[in-house]
Amino acid sequence: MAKVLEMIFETEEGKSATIAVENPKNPVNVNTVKLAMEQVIAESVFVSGSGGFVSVKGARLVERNVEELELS
Amino acid sequence: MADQIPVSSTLRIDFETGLTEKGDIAFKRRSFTNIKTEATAEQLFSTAVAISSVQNYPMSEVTRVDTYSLIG
Repeated sequence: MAKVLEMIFETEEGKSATIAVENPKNPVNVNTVKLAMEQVIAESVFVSGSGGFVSVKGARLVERNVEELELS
Repeated sequence: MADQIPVSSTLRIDFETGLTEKGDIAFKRRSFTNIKTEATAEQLFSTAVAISSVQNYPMSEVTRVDTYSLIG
């Protein structure tokens, strides 16, 4: 099943902003994710409705399950 | 005299996902909006590298798409 890595950042106004990456490395290394997020914050190119990214809030792997229904 | 002012920027990353049936390289394109218009090439490239580090497929071309508003 398709997995998506969601990297969640805290913004300047204390809200959350998510960057989703499809086809993440499998298995994904926690330190690699943390380093990537810190680099994204350091480069500071993203800006959300509630400001830039200031800190790492969390990360999660989201899996989507699709079940086809037999209609005939 | 007309002038232009930056409106928005988009960071676009092409990932190499394998080969097509004809043997050409297959790409998957991912676009990130909410990019600061004043972001430098260095910052954008470094961000693309960070995002690619958690991605399963190798990074290919990185593109910046800028939109300007023209005022006459």
